Amino acid sequence: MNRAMDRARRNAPVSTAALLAALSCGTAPAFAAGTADIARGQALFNGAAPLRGTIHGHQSALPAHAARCVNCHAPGSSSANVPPGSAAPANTSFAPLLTAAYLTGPVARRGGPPSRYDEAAFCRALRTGIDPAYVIVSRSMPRYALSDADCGALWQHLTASRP
Amino acid sequence: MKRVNARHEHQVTRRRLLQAAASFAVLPCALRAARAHGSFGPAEPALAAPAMQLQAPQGSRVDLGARLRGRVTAVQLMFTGCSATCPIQGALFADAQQRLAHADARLQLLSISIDPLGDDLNALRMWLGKFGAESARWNALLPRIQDVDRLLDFLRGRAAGVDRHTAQAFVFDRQARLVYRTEDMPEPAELVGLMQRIAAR
Repeated sequence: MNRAMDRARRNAPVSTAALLAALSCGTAPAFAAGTADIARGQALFNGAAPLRGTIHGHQSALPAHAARCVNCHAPGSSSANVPPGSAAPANTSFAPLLTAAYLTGPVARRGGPPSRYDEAAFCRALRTGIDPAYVIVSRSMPRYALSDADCGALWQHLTASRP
Repeated sequence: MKRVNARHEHQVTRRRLLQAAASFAVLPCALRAARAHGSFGPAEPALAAPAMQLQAPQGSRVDLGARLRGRVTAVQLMFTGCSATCPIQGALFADAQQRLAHADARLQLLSISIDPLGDDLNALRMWLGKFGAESARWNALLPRIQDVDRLLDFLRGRAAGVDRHTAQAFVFDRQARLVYRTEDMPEPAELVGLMQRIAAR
């Protein structure tokens, strides 16, 4: 409820503009509101907007540059050069690529049974480190203190614009 | 027949006793070995740092043992092209450095690159600068490519995946011996406390 109100408050100007546009050319207002969320979610994901993350059990929060989602969940993130003759790792990112298919499809993660994220499960995992199959994610992933609105925006970005 | 059976039973009982005694004799050794070879916790017995030459950001070549001797050192593995765990490791050492601000100057932090193919001294200097490293407390070293696997094996710092290294801190005593492997991403206050306890020994 709070999240919906936060989002509505934050998107009010966009929604008004979208409503005017809809009246003139028939576009649904919800589309414009979604676009604003997606842009905010993208900024949070890429680190253009800061996220407050803390390693589980630590006293101090990490600097924003160390807690960006993109640091670990992007293709080609974090690859050490492998000496000649050594086996190159199969994955190209440190952590799973967060596509809509990965998040919402039934996927077995961390040795747990197949599970799907929805927005609530996604936000719980970000805040507590407990995934939808009740498996705890790696300690290397910070736990995030973020508002419902920002979490919803991240979810919108990941599921609407990254098939 | 009865006597044969009795003797057989006696032999079985004796064998069992010997087996049990042997098990008890071996158990402490096995436990010690398990502790010494665990992936984190105290390294018992302490392990002398391997002989290897590394480059310091100032350009000089240093022997690892010589760089560690006389100080208590927390070592972390990293590389400057690492965007996942290394920024967090850097932030944790920066936090530890702050907590060590008024501590004995012989407590030091050392970041060792595992990627001599991708890293150079300038990249290491920039990486340290990004986290506000003060050279009196926190430095970085670059090993030779042929020494990377040896270092990973000695520390037990190898990890699957693209980063290739754990995010532990490896604590050495003043005799340049590895005495403790922390868990991944150690809490800076606890790391500093551990270093101070080792320094006080």
